[in-house]
Amino acid sequence: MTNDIGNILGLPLTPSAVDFDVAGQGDCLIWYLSFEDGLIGLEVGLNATDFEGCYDLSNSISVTRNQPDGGVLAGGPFEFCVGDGVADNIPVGAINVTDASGSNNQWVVTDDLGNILGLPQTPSAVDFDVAAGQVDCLVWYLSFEDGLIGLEAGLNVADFIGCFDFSNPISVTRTQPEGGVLAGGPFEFCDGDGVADNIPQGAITLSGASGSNPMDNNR
Amino acid sequence: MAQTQWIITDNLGNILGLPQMPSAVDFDGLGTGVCFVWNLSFELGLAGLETGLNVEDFEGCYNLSNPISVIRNTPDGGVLEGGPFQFCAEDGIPDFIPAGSNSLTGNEGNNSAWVVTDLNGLILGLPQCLLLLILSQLELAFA
Repeated sequence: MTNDIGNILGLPLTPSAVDFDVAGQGDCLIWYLSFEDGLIGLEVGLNATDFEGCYDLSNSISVTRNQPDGGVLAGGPFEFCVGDGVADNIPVGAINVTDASGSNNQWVVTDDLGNILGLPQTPSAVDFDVAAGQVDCLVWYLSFEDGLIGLEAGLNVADFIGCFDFSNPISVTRTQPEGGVLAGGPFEFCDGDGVADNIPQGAITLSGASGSNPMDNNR
Repeated sequence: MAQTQWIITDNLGNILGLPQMPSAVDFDGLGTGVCFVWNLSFELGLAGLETGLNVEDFEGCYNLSNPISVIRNTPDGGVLEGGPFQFCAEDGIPDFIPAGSNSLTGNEGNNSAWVVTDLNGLILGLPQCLLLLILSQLELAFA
């Protein structure tokens, strides 16, 4: 087992005995060596081109060890009021990615459970106002190698199969206050007769509202 | 975390009050008109939540409920002119207030009725038309 310039990395009993995961990014070559007694240089750390003796190397089989890096995202967090009809886009350039590497990359928007909500070309292309529901989102940068399985809206990033790496996430908080539905009334009063005109307690009921009024114990 | 607030507006959305609860509002004395009761849910930072401003001018993250209408009526009995009238009762001669001998001005309200009472306010009759009233018979009937 050598690196791409012939340095001997290992002398395994069989290729399948080698765990390439811990070797880091790079290319390896697997060879089969036949030799007579007395071969010099068959040692980890030396170079296969420096063998001295009677030997012959097979052709090599390459082993490419990819190590995509999602990089580091800077920016945010962002908070939007959704459902108000005002487009909620992350400003262009408001998220910066550094130190990402990999054959492919993709912006990914998920909910806080990792479910993929969108795969935009840029974070600023997403209008968070129109997405259904009051769900906080996470924006990630994904680097991956060819063959990744599961990169699809509606699936979960925990189910990816392949060689990939995510950046840190940037949170997007989507707030959506709900005024609720009032039931009761209409009420009709005789004004100016000196009799207090109050809506009876409990005559208006409120349902479906979000938020709380600590003073509102009795309507 | 959203907060909530009860809002009373006029029919143009002008904020008349921000009560702790709708039942705390005494609508008497505000004059004829229509008020609306709303529930507002909003995030911190809402601008414009102040009496005298208009809910259309809110700036921030908020949502209003449907409104509940409160109708404030101010009926006015108006002013009667005419009379006083004097009749000789129980003489067998019908005693009608002559047509055109009185007038009503300034009355207002969804409903109205003529009311005949004695001097103590006891209702003696609710005639459809004052001209049809036969006072002598009325007194006999309600005596």
